[in-house]
Amino acid sequence: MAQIQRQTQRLLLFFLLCSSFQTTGSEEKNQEANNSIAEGEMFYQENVSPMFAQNGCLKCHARGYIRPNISYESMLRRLAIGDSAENNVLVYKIGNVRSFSSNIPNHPGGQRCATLDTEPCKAVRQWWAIEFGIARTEK
Amino acid sequence: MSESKFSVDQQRRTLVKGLGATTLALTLMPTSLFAAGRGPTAVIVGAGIAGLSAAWELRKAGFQVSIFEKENFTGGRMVELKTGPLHGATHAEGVFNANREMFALGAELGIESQVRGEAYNQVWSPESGLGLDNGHGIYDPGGMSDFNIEMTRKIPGLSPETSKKLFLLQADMDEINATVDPCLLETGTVYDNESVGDYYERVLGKASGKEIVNYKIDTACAGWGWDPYSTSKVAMLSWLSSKEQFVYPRGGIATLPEKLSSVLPVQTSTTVRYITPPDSNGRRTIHYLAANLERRSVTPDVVVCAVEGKYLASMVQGLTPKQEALSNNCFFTKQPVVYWILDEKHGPEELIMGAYTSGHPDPMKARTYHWVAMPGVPELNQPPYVRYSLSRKHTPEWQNSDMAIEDYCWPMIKQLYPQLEKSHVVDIVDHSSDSLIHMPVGYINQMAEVLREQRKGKKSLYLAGEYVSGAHTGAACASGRSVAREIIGHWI
Repeated sequence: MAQIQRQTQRLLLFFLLCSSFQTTGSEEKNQEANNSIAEGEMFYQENVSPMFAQNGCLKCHARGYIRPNISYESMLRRLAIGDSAENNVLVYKIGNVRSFSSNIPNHPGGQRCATLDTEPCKAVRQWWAIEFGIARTEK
Repeated sequence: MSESKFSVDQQRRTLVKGLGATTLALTLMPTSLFAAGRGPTAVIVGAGIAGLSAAWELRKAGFQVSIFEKENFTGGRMVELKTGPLHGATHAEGVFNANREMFALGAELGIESQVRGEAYNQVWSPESGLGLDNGHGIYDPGGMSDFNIEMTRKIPGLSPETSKKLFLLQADMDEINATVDPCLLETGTVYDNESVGDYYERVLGKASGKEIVNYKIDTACAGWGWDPYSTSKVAMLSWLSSKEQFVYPRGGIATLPEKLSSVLPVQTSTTVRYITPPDSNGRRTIHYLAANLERRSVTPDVVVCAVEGKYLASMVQGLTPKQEALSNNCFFTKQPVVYWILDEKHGPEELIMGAYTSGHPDPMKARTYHWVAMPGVPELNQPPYVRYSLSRKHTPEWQNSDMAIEDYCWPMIKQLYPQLEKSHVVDIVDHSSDSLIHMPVGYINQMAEVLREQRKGKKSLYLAGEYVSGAHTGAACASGRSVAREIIGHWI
């Protein structure tokens, strides 16, 4: 029995060591953020989606648009590109952050937030914090 | 006996505990995105034609590749777009015959005849009213890839002085045609010194230059959503000088990316969040959202960033100053397009269309890039529709208007096609989208500097795509293949 226990412990130690050693091309789950998926979706439905509706986003996105819906997942995939609440594709499109000139908005539907502190950018930034946590500082 | 039973139960419990712990350990253990192999690992970000072409070359050379694509389809702008019953192309429609890398890749995959196709030059028919209207008459503006001097002389309203000076353009066109590859615009950096509008005004004189820009160049630029007075002349002249035909691939625009996707490992619905600077081993970690929305990360040997240039600044950390400067200069033009889908009783009996220069004297026409009323095609399950595309110059006015695109465009289309009634409309489809990368004066030099730096030696991050080659599908394909060859040279 003691031998079985020792073998099991060795096996466990081996796998734990494997999991902590990242080899090239290996894939890891990021535990820090995976817990907040349900919370993020709830926040989106209760706070972000109504702000999109109040700020004219549904004029284009609620019907047969090339990106026809404004669902949690479709917006999450734009929110995800970037490394902070202020640096992500969703905010830079609706906030007109990166445009050739201020009167030629990057977003086909134009600038939807007067500043990053006004809606709907404000709710989007809060949503980013729930989904992805503290801004990365490697940059 | 009882001691023996106890012992067996305990052994079982121990084994169950051990297996449970092992399962937990296996769950936590990194999984591999790559098939077993010995070559370096490479993640290609973006399954557009640039990323797929790069992945194909790298895999042939022995790399273990995996492609991440944020959309649930592959091919990027070369996707065969289908929106409900309506088949419309908001992205790439055809390819230029100069796309030699693309045709060579098609040949390698055994589908060259499907990638090649018929010329596009039968579209215009001024005698049937299908042409460009500049207020003086309707004419054939010529292809986007051919500045034909004889044809240009026939433009209605063109002044005799301008007509006489057109021969002055031929020498420059011959030189550019001989020296610049329109699929790899870094070959044309010496011509990246003025806008295409300024070029025509300099060579032909201000008045004649403006005429040519208004009657010919502005419409060609509009195909890219570009403004002639900010766009680098080489971005346009590389095509206008080439005399290459624009063709529709026989197998459809998506033929090549679909074939590549069928033989390469693509992870669709996988969104890259950000790519870290190199670690102490020189490798970068990619943080991403997997298809099931889990947050994951992977650290390959090589990352090829074949995304649309507009994502670069948000996505990649630790760019070099030259890459950073280029990424901050990546802008995309807009293409506002709206479809009114009509009920079957109220479609036109035959195709009716209009296309206008932005200097047209009628203000409603000047606001219109083009429109078409299309009969239904039952065999394609395509309903009758009216399609309207707003001119580039008026796009910002709409963007800042807070109006839905169909409300903004309604007065224009109502004047152009009075038969259109709201009661005949069964659906509205907004095909407004980002268009192509803008190439203002100086961009091509900036791009070439990034490529020179990239070639200097082995790296963990390489850039590929239209934003470092040229604004069309053939350039993206050529970029993917040429960058892959550089990586192979550095790593193998």
